[in-house]
Amino acid sequence: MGLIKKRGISPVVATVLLISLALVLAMIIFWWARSTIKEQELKFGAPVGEACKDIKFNADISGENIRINNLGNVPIYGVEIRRKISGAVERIGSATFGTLQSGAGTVKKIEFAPGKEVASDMIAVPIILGETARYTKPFICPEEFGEPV
Amino acid sequence: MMIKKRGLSVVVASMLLILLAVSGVVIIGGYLIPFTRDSLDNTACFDFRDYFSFDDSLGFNCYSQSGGKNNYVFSVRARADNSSAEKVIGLNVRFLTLGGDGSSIATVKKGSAIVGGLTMHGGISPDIPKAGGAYSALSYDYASGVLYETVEVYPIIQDPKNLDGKVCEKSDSIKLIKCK
Repeated sequence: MGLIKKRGISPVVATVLLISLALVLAMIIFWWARSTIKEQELKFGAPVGEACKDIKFNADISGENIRINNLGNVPIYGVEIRRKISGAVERIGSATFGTLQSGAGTVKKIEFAPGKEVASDMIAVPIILGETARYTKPFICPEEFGEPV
Repeated sequence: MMIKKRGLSVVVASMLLILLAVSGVVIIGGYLIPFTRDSLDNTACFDFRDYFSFDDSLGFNCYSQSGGKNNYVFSVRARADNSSAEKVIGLNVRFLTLGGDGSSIATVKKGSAIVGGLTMHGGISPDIPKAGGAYSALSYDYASGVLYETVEVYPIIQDPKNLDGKVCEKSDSIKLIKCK
């Protein structure tokens, strides 16, 4: 039997090529999925909206300032001030505190929306910070968790 | 003994294989890319399936009757989560008669004339509710000689292929009751 001359790439090179191909494909799919699928923002390991029901605070407005006391265990990032008018709930303004920890209180100047000012029957709706592995983002709680001011 | 080689050379065979692979990728890609894009377009509404809801806290969602007309007032609220809210450009409201055999549709877009006979309650400029926007809830008036039983709301989102936007699936519906 004569010597058979092998041709083509070696098994080692072929394996390396296949693994490289699989890795590149996996990276492309991961990159695409990461940009397409939205990350869920969490608070205390649960969807951020779930934390709203544990928020306890009181709020008072004096002049153009708002005083907030955080009475619960959820840090409050800020409040959005709204009021009910005929057939609508309009945004008056907002105030942010960074992070107001449990038991703490602070006074902040309200940033009014254009053309808005302090009015009667206002409510302060809490804003908390939702977290993902990469960023934090303010989340405005549903109005039912607001407090009259 | 000398073996006479027949067939293509290695170089030509390799070139042919590469060409075949490239052609295959181009042909399959030409089918897969539009297919994937269309499929993703169809899922664009997924984030907005519960974006709008009817709001009872403003005391409306009812109708009164006068002069042979039915005057409907209802309130729509945007969800608290304002993510992707900038993509919502309007809302469609659909009125359905008892049994659903008759219907009427009205469209509201921020800053545009309202189509379909709907008017803003309280003299507000045409607008839609938006979390973090000027209004988180808004009420609308509608008058018709037809007695409708149900009203439904549908978000309209930006669509690169259609300036009028894309109407998503129903967000919410309510049964209209007579105002007290």
